[in-house]
Amino acid sequence: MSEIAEKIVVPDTAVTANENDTTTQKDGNCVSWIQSSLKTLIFIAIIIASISSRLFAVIRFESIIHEFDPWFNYRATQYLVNNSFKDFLNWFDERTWYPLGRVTGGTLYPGLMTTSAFIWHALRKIGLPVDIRNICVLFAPAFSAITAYVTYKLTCELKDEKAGLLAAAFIGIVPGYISRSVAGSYDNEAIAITLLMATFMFWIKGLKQGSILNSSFAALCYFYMVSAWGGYVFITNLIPFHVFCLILMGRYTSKIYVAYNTWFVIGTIASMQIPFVGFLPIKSNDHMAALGVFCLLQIVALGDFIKAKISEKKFKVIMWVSIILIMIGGIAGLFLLTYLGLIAPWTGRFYSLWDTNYARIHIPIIASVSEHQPITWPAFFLDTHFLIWLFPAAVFLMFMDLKNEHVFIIVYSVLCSYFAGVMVRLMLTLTPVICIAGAVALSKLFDIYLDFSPIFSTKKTGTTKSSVMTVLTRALVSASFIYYLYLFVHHCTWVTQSAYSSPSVVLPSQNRDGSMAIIDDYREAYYWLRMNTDYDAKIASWWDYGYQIGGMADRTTLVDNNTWNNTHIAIVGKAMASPEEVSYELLKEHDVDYVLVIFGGVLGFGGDDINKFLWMIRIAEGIWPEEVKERDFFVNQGEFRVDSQASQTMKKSLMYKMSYHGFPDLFPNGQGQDRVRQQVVTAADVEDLDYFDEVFSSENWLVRIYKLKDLDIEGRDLSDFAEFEKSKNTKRSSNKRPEIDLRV
Amino acid sequence: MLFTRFWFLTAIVTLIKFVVSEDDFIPPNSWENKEFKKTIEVSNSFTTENLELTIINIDSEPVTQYFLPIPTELLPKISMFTAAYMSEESFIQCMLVPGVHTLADGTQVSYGVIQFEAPVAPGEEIALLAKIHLAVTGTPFPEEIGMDDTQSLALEVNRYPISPYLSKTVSVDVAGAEDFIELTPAQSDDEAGILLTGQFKYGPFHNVPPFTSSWAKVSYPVDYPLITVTDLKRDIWISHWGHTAEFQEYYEIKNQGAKLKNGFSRVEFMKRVQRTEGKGGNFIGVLGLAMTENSTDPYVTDKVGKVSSVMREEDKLLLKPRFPVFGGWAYNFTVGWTNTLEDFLHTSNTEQDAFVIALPVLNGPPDTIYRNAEVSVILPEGAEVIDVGSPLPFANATVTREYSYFDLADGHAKLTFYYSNLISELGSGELVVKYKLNANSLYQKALYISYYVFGALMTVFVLINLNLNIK
Repeated sequence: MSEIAEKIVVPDTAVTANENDTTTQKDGNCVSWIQSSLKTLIFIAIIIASISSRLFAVIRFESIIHEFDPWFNYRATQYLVNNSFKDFLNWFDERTWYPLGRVTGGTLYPGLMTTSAFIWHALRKIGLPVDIRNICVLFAPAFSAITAYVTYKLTCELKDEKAGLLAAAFIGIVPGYISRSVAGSYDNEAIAITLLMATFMFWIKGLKQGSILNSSFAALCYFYMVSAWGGYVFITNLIPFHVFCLILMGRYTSKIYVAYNTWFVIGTIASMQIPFVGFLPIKSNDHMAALGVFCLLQIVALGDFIKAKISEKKFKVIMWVSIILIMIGGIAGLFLLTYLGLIAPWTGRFYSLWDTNYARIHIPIIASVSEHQPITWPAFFLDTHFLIWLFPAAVFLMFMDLKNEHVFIIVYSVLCSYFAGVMVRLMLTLTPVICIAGAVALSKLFDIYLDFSPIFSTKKTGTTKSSVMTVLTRALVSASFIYYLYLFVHHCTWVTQSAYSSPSVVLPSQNRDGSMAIIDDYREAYYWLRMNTDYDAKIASWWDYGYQIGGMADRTTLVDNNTWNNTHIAIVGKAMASPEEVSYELLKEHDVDYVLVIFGGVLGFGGDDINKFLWMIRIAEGIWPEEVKERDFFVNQGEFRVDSQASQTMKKSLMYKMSYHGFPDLFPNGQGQDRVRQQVVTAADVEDLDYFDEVFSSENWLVRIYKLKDLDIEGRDLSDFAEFEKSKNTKRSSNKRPEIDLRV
Repeated sequence: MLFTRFWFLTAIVTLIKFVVSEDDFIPPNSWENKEFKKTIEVSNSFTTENLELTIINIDSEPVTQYFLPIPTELLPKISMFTAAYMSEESFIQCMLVPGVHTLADGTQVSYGVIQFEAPVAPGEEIALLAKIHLAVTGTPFPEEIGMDDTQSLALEVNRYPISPYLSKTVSVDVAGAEDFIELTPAQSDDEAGILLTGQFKYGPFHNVPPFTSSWAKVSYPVDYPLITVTDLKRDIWISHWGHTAEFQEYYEIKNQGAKLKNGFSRVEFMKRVQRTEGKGGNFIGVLGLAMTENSTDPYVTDKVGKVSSVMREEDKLLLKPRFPVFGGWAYNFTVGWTNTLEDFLHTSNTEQDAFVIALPVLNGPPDTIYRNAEVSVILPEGAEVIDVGSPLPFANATVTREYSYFDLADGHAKLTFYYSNLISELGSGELVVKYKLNANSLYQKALYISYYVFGALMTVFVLINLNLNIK
């Protein structure tokens, strides 16, 4: 470049100048060709990196749907593929929430399933009959590549292509995004982040140019987003807030008017077409900000018009009067509508955004979900590495420029940082802005410090000494940041493979020789259910396993991860926390055939039902405070124990009996060593089950399934019957049990 | 020797509609059994009846058919019915006829017919061996047992080998178990069975009149699972491009053994496994799936994903099902592997572009009954079926089209044979398919793909160059 510059600077004659012009043009063509091919190359590299780093789970384990919610999405997708779209929207699922059922078609966001079904059909059309499971598994990695491109486009609007490429690379491999988009994590977020970025990109484009086309695209992306994820409310509030800030800053222009109105009108009407959303955009408080800003914008536009027509003095009077009137009217209207119940009451999830303790005190079911917990500080670093400290610097740099689009990023960062601190899952929406901001800051740095052109221009400008120092400082700064980049890649890969690539359906473990073994107890038990129980059998388990039972065991469940009915969940909680005879009656009333519990005591798996038991008790206590009391499950010191010191209520509870049934027999002298709670459970602690039969336990005892005994033919109480049988067999049961070691 | 090796080559059971009325058919009394020895083999989860016969033509004229009564209810469960001369190593044609005759004790019998190639002269004596493979097994007795109890089966056997002819000396042996108990008492001491080592013997009886029948129920301990494949879908993909034959089999298996009385207790199961040092028992702990020789890339999956508890041992795949399959329990899985095409393919010398492929009908676990089996051969794109041959009698055979990856033209020809009531021992017979495939169709696929890709690129090019600007 410098050579070309010199040539232009020193023209000899007109003729040579002309010649030089053509060569410059040629060179320019050449440079732009190299640039675009390099850019393509970089993009291919980014796409490969972002897809391949998400494939750890597939390579180490298998092509399998992960965790809990994805199993529902997968099941819904299968339904959509096997039935028509109309059937899908009208789907009433009688195999969950027995006996209530779920209006699934009207209570889900269909965007994800529709997209994969579309891909499935499209591939079929071009002669690629790919299995729907593989499409679902690889859905998130594929969309992460698109996210990278859209983020690039968005960042280009903020700074330039250099920052854009950096942002694309960051978003491609940043763990905060990978955590929800590894292969197999087939969740709404997998597509939502792509759409979030696309909406913002079109919004900023539309705002900058006042373009109806781009704003319409923004509205369409917003509609797609609404169809895919409940988190669309974030956009619904962020864009109006951005516009509101711009108005307050006195930056109102007709471009803003055009962009916002286009987006709002098309976006809102479109979003109302989603059955689950319906009339929420004009009823729920979550959407009021958008509506308010829409009205405000009309008033501002009117004011702007009037201002142009009348004198400033008169305008001020009009302005103040109307502001006061509007405020009074607005607040009164809001109160009135809420009072009349025309607009939805403030939901619990909304409160927990402002007061982190709200949920814990009032709604145990919300607090019991791990992703609703507040985030911890190390998690920020784990998820974004060095971008987390570049981020504030970048926000500061945005303040220096402070164009309309920079205001957007500032608003986005401030709002999202707060919300991410409140709820772990919102870290996901913060991550993109961290990447964008980080990329802008870094590219600003590189713009200056990676520019070594002073070396070539020493002859002309300053002294040798100062130029050496400049080069040295530049080299130092660039080197250290390149080293940071290297560390970042290293960190991302490590976090991805160690923290985010476990399907959680199978658990990795080690053989004695150190080779990897897989603990496959969940699938063992679910498959047993699928193969060896009646198709109409009803399974009672804690709600965490509802989706997995639906997806893998294909059996009817009482409650599942779509926690819409607190009372129904409390019924299962009560059954688990009550003594056998109470539970039996309660479960029989609900036609339950099998009860499934997760027990990690043999394996040392901490996420088992005994550890979740307190939540079950609390949720049940919320509905039946007289019958289930949390206090009764603690021993005097306020401890939660399972050994011989455990409280009587604890030992009598169904959950305790089912978890520890037969467990002490596994150990020499009947001294059962619970590896999770590090307590000793003896045969004397575990009372017999009179109303339930063990029908299956998985290899490592992780999943235990019990069948409700049939009612006695002679009408006897089952506990009396068991008593009677025991007295008959006293001789046999006094036989010494053979000692056996545990082999895991 | 002959039976064990070559029976599948020549012996084909044909089910024909018999000309006579089906109400009551009694074969002409033209034979006398000089000796009739029947051995019922119960050491497998299917039953094999071995018949050793010495027969004499007592008719006045030459006879070509010898009739063997078979209880009508067993007729559809017969996997294979073969007969051979004892003296020379050659088979005799056999048939099953659905004519029914009701015996004095109410047993309904149909007939197996041994059709001699040349008529047998009056007074001539012939020694025969006949073998009936039955896809049936005893029923669990008792039906429900505890985790540690021994499983026993009860089998209905006839104390006499039912024959439409007078028999001089007859005996029935039940063989293949350690112990036998007769559950139904005999009418006379004469008829009571005798327990020998590993055998339970009725007879020998002398001068038994035609159609003598007396049913007994014999129970014997069985410490292995009774594996029944209720459905098998076996697909063999032939590829000339990849030089491979890919096998994929979907099994639905069930253990027909005794059910668990008190459900499954993991503690007791672990104790049992430790006590027996993992030798197994009446549950399917490990399935030894036979694959074809020199196969590569085996895999096992089921409807919830990969089954990781699989180990390869030479040409066997040791599959530990997700859970031990006890009596009455079911499991299903898909297993697959790949072979090179050269292992099975032969080029025809006489015809151009013609190929002959010979593939085993079954692989899979040993000692198994197959209720329904669907064996498909999927030929390369553009291939035409010329001729087929099956070593086993099939219920139906179809040719359909199958579309797979990038099958943009006509798809593959899929040849499917439907079998029922097979036993694993018959599986090594070879399915022979002769087909035509010319070299052009080999390149057709690549051409089609490039054609479509070119079309797509051209469309993109045209769309990009469209200028819809209003200015």
